[in-house]
Order: sequence, then structure tokens, then C-alpha cells
Amino acid sequence: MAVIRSALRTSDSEFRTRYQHNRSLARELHERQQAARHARPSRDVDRLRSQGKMLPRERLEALLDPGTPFLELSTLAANQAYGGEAPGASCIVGIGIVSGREVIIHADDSTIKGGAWYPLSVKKIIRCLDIALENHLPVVHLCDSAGGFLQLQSEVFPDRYMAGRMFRNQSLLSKRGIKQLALVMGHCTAGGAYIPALSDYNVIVEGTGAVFLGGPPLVKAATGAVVSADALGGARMHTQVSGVCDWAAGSEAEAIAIGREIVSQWEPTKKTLIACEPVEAPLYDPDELYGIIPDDIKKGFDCREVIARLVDGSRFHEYQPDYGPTLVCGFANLWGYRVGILANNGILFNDSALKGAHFIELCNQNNTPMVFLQNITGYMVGTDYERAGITKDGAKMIMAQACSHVPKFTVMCHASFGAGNYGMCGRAFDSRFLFSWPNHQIGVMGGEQAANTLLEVKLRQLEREGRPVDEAVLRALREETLAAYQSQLSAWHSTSELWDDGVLDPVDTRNALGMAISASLNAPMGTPGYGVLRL
Amino acid sequence: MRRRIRPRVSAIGVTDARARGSPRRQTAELKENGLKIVFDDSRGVRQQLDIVARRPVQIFEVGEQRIGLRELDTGEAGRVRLDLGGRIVEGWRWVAGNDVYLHLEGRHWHFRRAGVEAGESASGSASADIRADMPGTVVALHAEAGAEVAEGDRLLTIESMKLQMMVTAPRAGRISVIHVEVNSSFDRGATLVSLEAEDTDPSRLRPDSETGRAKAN
Amino acid sequence: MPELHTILVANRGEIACRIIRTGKRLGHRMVAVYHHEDRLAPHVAMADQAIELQGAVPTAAYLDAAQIIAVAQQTGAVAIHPGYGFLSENAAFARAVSDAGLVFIGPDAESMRLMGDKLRSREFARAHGVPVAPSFEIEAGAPVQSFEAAAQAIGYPLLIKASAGGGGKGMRVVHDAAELGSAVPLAAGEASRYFGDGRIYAERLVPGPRHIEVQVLGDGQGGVLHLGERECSIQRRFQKIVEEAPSPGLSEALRQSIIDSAVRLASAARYRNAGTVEFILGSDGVFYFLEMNTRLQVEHPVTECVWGVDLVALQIAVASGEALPSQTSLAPQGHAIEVRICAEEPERDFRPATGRIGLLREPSGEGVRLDSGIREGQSITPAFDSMLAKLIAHGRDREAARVRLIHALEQTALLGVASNIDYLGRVVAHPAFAAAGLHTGFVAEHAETLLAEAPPQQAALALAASALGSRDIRIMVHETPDTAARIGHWRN
Repeated sequence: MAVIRSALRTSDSEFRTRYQHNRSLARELHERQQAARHARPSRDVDRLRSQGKMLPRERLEALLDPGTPFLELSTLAANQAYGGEAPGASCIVGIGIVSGREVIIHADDSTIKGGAWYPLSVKKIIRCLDIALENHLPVVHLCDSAGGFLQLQSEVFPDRYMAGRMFRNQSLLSKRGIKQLALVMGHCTAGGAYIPALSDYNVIVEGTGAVFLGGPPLVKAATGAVVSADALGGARMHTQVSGVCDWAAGSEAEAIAIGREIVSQWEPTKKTLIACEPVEAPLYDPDELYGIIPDDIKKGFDCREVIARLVDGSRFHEYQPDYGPTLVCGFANLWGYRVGILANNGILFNDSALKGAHFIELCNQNNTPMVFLQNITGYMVGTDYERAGITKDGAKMIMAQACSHVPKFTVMCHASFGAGNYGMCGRAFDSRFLFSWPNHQIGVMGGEQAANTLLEVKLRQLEREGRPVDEAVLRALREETLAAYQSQLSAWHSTSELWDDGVLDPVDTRNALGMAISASLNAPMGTPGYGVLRL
Repeated sequence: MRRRIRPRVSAIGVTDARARGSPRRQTAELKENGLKIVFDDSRGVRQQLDIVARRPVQIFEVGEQRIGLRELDTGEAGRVRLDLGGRIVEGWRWVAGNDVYLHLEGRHWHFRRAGVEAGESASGSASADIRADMPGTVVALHAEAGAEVAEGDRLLTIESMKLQMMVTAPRAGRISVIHVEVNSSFDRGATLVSLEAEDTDPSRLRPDSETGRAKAN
Repeated sequence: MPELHTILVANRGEIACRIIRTGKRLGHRMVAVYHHEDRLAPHVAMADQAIELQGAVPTAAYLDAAQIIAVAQQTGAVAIHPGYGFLSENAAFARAVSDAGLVFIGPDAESMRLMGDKLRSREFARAHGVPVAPSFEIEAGAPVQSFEAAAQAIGYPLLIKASAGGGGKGMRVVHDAAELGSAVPLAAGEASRYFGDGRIYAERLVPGPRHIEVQVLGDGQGGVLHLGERECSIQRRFQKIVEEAPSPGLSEALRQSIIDSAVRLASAARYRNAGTVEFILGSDGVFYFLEMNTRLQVEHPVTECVWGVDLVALQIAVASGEALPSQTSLAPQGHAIEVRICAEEPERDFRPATGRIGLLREPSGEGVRLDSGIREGQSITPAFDSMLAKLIAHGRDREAARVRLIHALEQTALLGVASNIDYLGRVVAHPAFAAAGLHTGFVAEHAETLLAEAPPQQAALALAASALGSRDIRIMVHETPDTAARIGHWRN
């Protein structure tokens, strides 16, 4: 396989400007993540300590095998919601190794409002369980939650993809033989009680762990009876009398040790075998990614330079290199796994859409997982293209991509506007994992374009009504629209809403994809099949 | 102008996209916050073993020492063969519960697993109530209130459904109350004996080398 | 069929195995006795018949003379071999055995009584021209002043010993007159407790002493065959741990002088069967009689290797009434060194250790002999002595034997109980040992180097190799999926 020839000139001023810009974005990402992970009011930390509890991240580190990676998903969930009250949506989700097994971990963060579930917390946990279902990953729950956040109950409780969906997912996981372990380290109240109850195995910590459908305040309100949390649903009762819990642990450390022992006894999954080769690091320095990614959403870059800094040995076997040049397709190895890469070098035309569809079929035929590196502003528009059938060519690409049975992985490298998002496997198309870069922007169209379009609409409206056009007002309107739009376009917003599985520092992409691919192979692959391709 | 290409393959196989912080600092964090694998050596000194790498060779760290090795299959129980980067050493290893005995390079070693994985509990348990699993009568008492008992010591003989059973102490401790007397009957779930709350130092329980049981030091 | 067709071995451990092995080789039917604690011991399975002894305390069973004799009669044994320790130097037992019409494979009761009493035997030795260290008896309860002068005459430092003692027990060093007053009552008390006989005596402490002993066999009529000397200077807690034959660095004249004294003593006592005459040799070249052991000694294998004999066979032969081989028909060849493998922790002051033998790999090879009393699966308890086995190496000279022994020790793996195997290896490998700088203070003098810790790199490797024996660590190391294993520690 040929090595990609890089044309990058690191001494260029363009490189240096971009480098500074992206480094500072990466720094911003780390600062935001650091704050989301660790910044807590001291009284909340003190409260935990006084209860004899470990901090959620301490529990995590004690649970994970030493010297193993942990891919945390959606660290910055809810960072733009609820006034910033719920960093990380008060839970931690990630993929790690416990007793030699790949698992996905969901840990409630009781340093935030006692671990109560906000609407986005529920969405994050559902996403965690969906990932578990799609990838056949066993789940470890570290339960310590006060239950649903009552003030926002209408967004937490009633609808199809709200709280109940967690328990539906848990049931289906169990049905499919995908194991779940719950470590009850705090209260599991009301709906929360179902998490350990629906887990195949659970361990409860004496003194601090409790499981009940109705907590002491509810019991008092309902029956007038006064009972302590421990008596009502504590470790002793549930392990000796009711049988709701399987093991009682004297401490959180002991619960984690028991949990690790349980996981070690699970049958190791037979992973789906795909083409695999010895691993090589990329030949080019991934650090150079900072200088490749533009500092402006309207500017472009050669996606081959990005590919060269992600794949093994920077080797890339390009498919149809001379046809459909705005979509770069090809085969490469990533952490040894053979993958098919689709990356944008401009907008999509008829030929690139056709090329993409065919390449997707080749990947499905050969059981090759696909990695989509999105940087797309849309399809080509215009009479000639419409007459040539760009709409149906785009549809073919979407049909092939949507009906794929191989695992798909998406990285939002830069722009993701309009219908281009669809063909390139956006969120709606069930990529197993979808990550964004900090510079990423997503919207139905770009900010400038949206502002200009809205302005056009406004102008015509004023004309129709025969009202005078005030330049200053229009300019202000444009600025306002742009500003509102910008906040909605940014990666911080999309990750806050859980439109992705996390924002990655570009240099972390290789490791994240490696872990993602490895995790996805726990599930068997289906068989190829497509709907009708409008030829 | 052709760019200089820097190969990035390291001694342990593959390094990768730039890790945040130097490897040394990461290891230090790992040691601080992560799951700890600890053993006591034959002199009773506690050692921590860190797994730094697993593939293609295993790299461990013990204190300042870093060892890279690959365990090879021997097909013989107890036999150990290690590839230390070209040098092969062979030996014998025997595991009994938390104890591991090793004979390597003409020398004997003995390590005992410590920490939570070895069953050392970080917190003492409250008073232990020993309850009856089924209704029955007391045939004989073998201990009295105030007595110090060791784990497994006989406490009383009970008879239930024409079957006599021995009730033993679940852990070491002092008997605070014996709730029944000879020939008395009891129901399922009745408390037969209560032990006093454990009075141990929660930070470290040291195994007694004679009996292999944990006792407070 | 040999005259003593059925022999009962009134002992356990390695010596019982050793005696049974020779007995069977010679065509005798061998009967073993054992306490319940020893039911898994090898000597039980090796014997043609094994009878369990009753005894609340395990050692008591092997000391129960009446029971043992009853078992002998019950099984049709015509002779009893007492081994060493236990009843081997018990004159009453020897008498009871012969009274029961059985043959006691060893000396007669009278010899035992004579040589078993330290004071009497010293007197006897002196009377027959065998040099004896200046000493004096201490009367029970006598005031210090009564023997202060005698102590002064001998000179300090002194060694106080129990008259009925042995095995290193009941011995005390007195450095100066000030200590004398307190040391004497303590020693007397210890002698009473351990040996039931409070008589003590004091003798000069010999400078840089070497322990040298001579193996003898008597025909009971004054005829004595000697099988050379042994050096047993490497001791800890007054117990021998390394022995060799012949004694290195002795002038021929001195060697002959020592041997002649031993032969003279045994002959004068009309000694019968095997025995060992022990001497102490000072760095000034002067030697003194210590005591005579009226039994087979633990370290007899080194003599057997060097002289090409089987001492147990010779014992049985003498007991059967056969004549001793002539002195001229035997000649020593080469050098042999023995180490005593014990269940103990040298770094904890040689404290005895217990446990279960999980894995045992014995050394083999030319010139290597292992007299073992243990097997895999056996529990080592505090009920018995901590010695498990003896490892002997024989070579054409001392250095050849020494190197062979070091190699054999490195090959020996005993897992499940702490042992002194590594420590013995360090002793034998020590330059002072190689240079034969031997004296009874060897262990104390070189304690620091002998107890030195392993280099940290080696210790770390051992920890890693040991850890890989734990199931959960093996899972963590080997079952981690490839990609995660290659990435290592990483957080995004």
C-alpha cells in the first residue's frame, strides 16, 4: 500500500496561523473538559466525603484495569444547557477495560444535585445503552442517583425516548445476552431502582447504597411511616430478605473488587474477525493536524493530509483516484484494522456521489468497517447537475450508506452543512460512534449563508409591505442572526445536545477510532442488502 | 522540498498520536489514582506492581524498576518460562490462595496478595448476627458469651428437619450474646448468636503468617 | 533371607526413608511407624508395612517405647533401628528392646549410659588419654563464690553446658566474672526443663573453634573401625547446617591424632555398632573431646560418599553378628559436602516455618545425593523438627564438590514453605567457605553478606513473574483486547 505523499509545508505562515488557532481550540477543549470533570463546589465534594463515598472519577479509576485506555463519551454534554448546572449531564459514560473485558461504563455523578437525572442525562444514558445494544458491549453501572430531576419531569419522563427507554434498553440487552452489572453506591430511587433490578448482576454497598421504588420522604408522605433509607432499602435488607441485590460489600472499594471479579467470570466475547494487520504508527506527525485544519469555516483543506496523520504507516490505497475527486475514498489500516475511508475534498457532485455509493457497496461486500471524515457544505446545485440527476445520485449514496451492515464511524472534521451530512453518515444514520473536532460547525446551512438568506427574506417582506429599508437595522438584524446562529452551529452546542458522542482533540482521533472499532467488533456483522437504488 | 519523515515506532511496539504529558508523568498519575495491584514480600514489605504495557511484550514497573517480559507457554503445570528480550529464564511457580511461591534463577520467592483484591476489607463490619436458616432446636452449645472465637470455631449444634448441623463463627471476634439455650426452639431467621462489632484498624489488615488469616496489627 | 528378616524403624522423616531404602535393598522386610500427622509422609508409603502410633502429641508417639516395642512384636519384627534423635540414645529403650527379645541396631545400653552423661564420658575420655577441655562441675544451687576461682583458673570466656544435654540446647556463654552469677542459675533451670537433669558444667570456650568428629564402628570387643573425620563447623543456634568430609586444611599428623583419640576411646569402651566421637579444635591447633554420640548421625552421608560404604548396612551387619570390614580394605576418595535443608526463615533469625509443600523439584546429576523425607502435598507443621532433607554433593576434591553442591542447590525448588535453601547456597558460595575459613562462628561472622537482600532488579522480576500466577492479573494482562492493550494508558 502506498504512503500518502504530503505536500504540507510546516514553515508556511498559513500553517503557523492554523496551528496557533487549533492549538488554542484544543486548549479550550481541555479546559472545558477539565472544568466539566472536576470543578465542583466544595460543599458537594465534602458532602460525598462525609458520607464515606468515593468521587465518581475515583470509582472509575479503581474499576478500570491499570494501564488501559478509557474513551470517555460526551464529556461536555449539557455544557450549554440548564445554565451550566449539570456538567457532563451529571453522569460519566465511556468505554474501558475491566478485568480484561471491553465494557461500557455509566457512572452517576452525585456531586451534581445528588446525581439527579436531567433530560440530557437521560438522553446520555440512553445513548450509552444504545451503544451497548449496537456493539454488544457489556455494561457496568455505577449507580448513585437521586432519580429524575423533578423540575424538568416533563422532559424526563413521558415520551418514547425518555426515562422508560433506559429500562427498555436494559431488558433488550439482557435478552440478547449482553451482560450488565450494577454497583449500587448510593441511592437508586423510583425509576432509578430499575437499573440494578434490571441488571443481570448487582452489588450494593452497606450503609450508603439503597434501592427503593419510593424513598423515605415518599413513604412518609404516602403512609405516614417514618423509616430510614437503610432500613427501607439498604444492603442488609436487599441481600438477606428481598433478594433484590446479589452481593453486599462493606465498602465501595470492596464493591468494585467484587464487581471486577464478576466481570472476570463473564465469557470473553468472540469478536467478529475482520482483516487485520500488524500495527504501525502514522509516518507523519499527528501534531501537524493542528496546522492542517483551517481557522475559518469557509476555508478548505486537503483531506488526504488528515488521513495521512490518522492511518497506519500513513498508507492509503485510494479507490478511483481520478474519478469524483471531491470525495476521496480508499482503504487503509487503522490500529491494524482494515477500514474504508470516505473523506470530503469539496462539495459532492454526481460523480463523487456515485463513486461514494459504489465504494460503500465494496466495503459492505468485504466486511470492511467505514470511517467517514466529514467536511461537507452540500451538493452541487444548478441546472446541469439537476438534469444529470444529482438528486438521485445523492439518494443512491444515502441508500447505500444507510443500508450498510458494516460498522460506520463518523468524525466531523470541519463543516457539516445540509444534505451533505446525510450522505456522509450524520447522526441520524446510526454510525456506531460519532465524534466532532472543536472547530466543527453543523447546521442546515452555514452561518453567513443563513444570515444572508434570512436577510433576503426580510428585505423582500419589507418590499412587499412597502416599508422603508433601514441599513442600520438590517445590519443589526444580520449581526443578531449571525450571533444566534453561531452559537447553535458550534461544536460546543452540538456536543451539549448530544448530537455527537464527544468532542475530540484532533490528535486523539486515532486512539478514539481504534477503541471504537475494537468495541464495535463485539457485535456480529449482518449481511449486505440494500433497498432500491434509483439508477 | 521533500519533508523529512520521522518514523514513530518505539521499543515496546508502537507509540502513537502524541500522548498528553510525558509517559513518566502518566505513569505517576496511574499509580496515584488507579486500581492498585499490591503484594507483600517475604519480609512483609508492601510492593506495588504496575502494568505499563501488555502487547507485544508485557512491561511491569515495581518502584523504580521496569521489567519487560513475555510469558511463554510451557505446557507443564507449575513450570514458568519467560522471555526477557532474548534471554530465556525458567522456573517454577505455585499459587495457593493469596500466596504465590516462585523459584527463578536459582532463588526462592514468596509473595502474598494484599489489598481489596485479596479480600482485605477497607471497613470493619458491624456486629454480626448469626441467624438460623430454618426452624429447629438447639442440641448443644460450644461457646459462651464473652468468649473470643476465631473464624470457623464451633458455636452451637442445632437440629432441623432430622438433620444436625454445626454453626460456626463467620469471622474472628468476641461473642456478645448467645440468644438461645440447649433444647430451646427457634424460627427461621431467628438470631442465634451475636458477635461484637469488629474493632479493627481499617487501613491495613495483616495476614497472620501462621494461620493465613487476617488479624489486626 | 537375612538373619534380621524384619526390621522396625522407630523414626520418621528423611532418616526413616534412608533406613528403609537400605533395608529393602538388602532384602529385609521393613516396618514403619507413624503418627496421624505423618500419614502422608514418604516413609509410610515406602515401608512394607506401616502401623499408626497413638499419641496426643505427635513427637510423644515416636517416644512411646512400650507402644513401639508392642508394634514390633505384633508385626513380627526381630530388630528395631532407632535412627537418630527420639529414642536412639535412650538406654532404657535399648534395654527394653533386648529384654523383649528383639535386636537393637545400635550400641548396648551401658555404652549409651556412659556416653550420654557428659560428665562421666569426659572423665572416661581423660582416663584414656583423650584430651578434654579444662572444666569444672557446678553443683546445683551452689553459691557463685564456690566456683568463681575454678572459673578464673580456666579463664574467660566460659561455656556452660548441660550434662545431660545436646543438640545445642542448654548452652550459655559467660564472658566475664560479672555474668557468672546470673548465668549459672539460668543454665541450670534450662537443663532441668529440657533434659530433666539440672546438672551443669563449665568449660573453656575454645578460640575460633572448629567442630570435628570421627565416625567409628565397634565390634563390641574392643575392635574399632574408623571411617575418617567430618567437619561440622557451620552451625546456627548451635545446630549443624553444613558438614563435610574430610576436614579441610588439617595436617596429616593432626588428623591422625584426632582419629587415634576417637578409636582409643571407642575401643576402651568396648563400643559396639556405629557411633561418632566429637571434638572441638581451636585455632591454636589444640583439640579437646566434646562428647560421643552413640547413634548414627545426621551427617553420615558425607562419610558414605567419601569412603564408599553404606553405614546403615554396616549397622545392620554388626547387629546381625557379622564382622566389621578391615581398616585396610577401605580408603577415602574425594570430598563430600552436605547441607541440611530446613523449613525456616533465615532472615527472621531462622524461625521455623510451616506450610504445605505445593511443589518440589529435586536436584539430580552425577555426585549429587538427596536424602529426603518430604513429598509434594505434605503439610509441614510445628509438631516436628524443621529439617526436611539433606543434600550431599561428592567430587574428586573439595572445590569440585562445592561447585556441584551450589549447582544442585540452585536446581532445588521447594515451594509452599519457607526454607533455608537459598541461604545454604550463599553459605557454600561464600569466599570464606571456599577458602575453608571454617569455625563455629561462621554464620554470625558473615551474617550481613549471607542475609543480604536480592538486587532490586531481580526482586522486581520475581514480583512480576509471581504476579502472573494470579488469575485476575493473568486475565488483565492476556485477555485485554489487542487495541486497548497496544494503546495502553490513555484518556481523552
